[in-house]
Amino acid sequence: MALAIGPFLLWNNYYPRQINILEAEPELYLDAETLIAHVKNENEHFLEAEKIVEIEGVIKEINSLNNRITIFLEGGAAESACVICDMQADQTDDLKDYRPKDTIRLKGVFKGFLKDAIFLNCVISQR
Amino acid sequence: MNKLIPIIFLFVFYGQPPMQEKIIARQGRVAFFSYTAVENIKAENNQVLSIIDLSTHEIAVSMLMNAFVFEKALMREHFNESYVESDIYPKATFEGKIIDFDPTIEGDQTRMVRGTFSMHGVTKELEIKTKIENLGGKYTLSGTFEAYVKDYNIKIPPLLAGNIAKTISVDFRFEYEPYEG
Repeated sequence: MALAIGPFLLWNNYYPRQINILEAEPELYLDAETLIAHVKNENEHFLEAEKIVEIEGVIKEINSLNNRITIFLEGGAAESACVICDMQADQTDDLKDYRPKDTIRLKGVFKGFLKDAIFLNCVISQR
Repeated sequence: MNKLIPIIFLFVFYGQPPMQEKIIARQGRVAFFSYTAVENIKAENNQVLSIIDLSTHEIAVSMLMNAFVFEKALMREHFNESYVESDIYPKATFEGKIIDFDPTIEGDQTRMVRGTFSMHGVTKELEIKTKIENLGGKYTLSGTFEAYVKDYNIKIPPLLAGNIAKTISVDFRFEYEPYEG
């Protein structure tokens, strides 16, 4: 019995199961400045980790450090804290037309705060 | 010749740009690898924060444990929910000092970084051999060290014990820029 269940559990434990962010409905809609303002007010717990959030903001920087496309959204005037969005690899072509100072609406999984708010699996929101 | 002395003095003492006190890496990369006969597991976190104070040589690192990216989604789930319990212990931090660090040296220098690493509610003293590159005031720190899973009170279920190495290899690389406060 154990021999039969063991492989099943291993398979079940490691079978890949990915969230399709493009199709997922955001749980929250925010702009980057509002999010950073909450952080500055030490209200870090208003947004739980792993929530899918649509976030709109002004692009501060786009870079490809570590072979990943990352977008920094401005956190407000004279504000050094940003929203960092680690983009999904399939978004590269769609990002070609975007430049710093452009406004963009992204959807991603919120991971938490360090100095900045961090989002992974980000895609351009099609809404 | 006498006229040259004040010029040389000015160049030496005022000609160099002032040293930035603090530098920051917001997209530091930390990756870990577990090699066993059953399977290899690797994960990386590309949003690791680090700040260095160039005047005191102090370094701080902070990372979100749930920001590690795995090849398989369920490996990530197990890592976060069962092993590092990232909802209870969301961050891992390192605070330490770069020993014998001279920020004015251009090019490469290898130094020991000594400090305390906290993860999963456990704090351990660490000493890590680190390569420091300084290219015109742009600093990069990189290195590798080994971490013992049991040191951090991480319990692996017996069924999966063969899948996860007892010693995890950790790579890091931080590219710093001036810290604007």
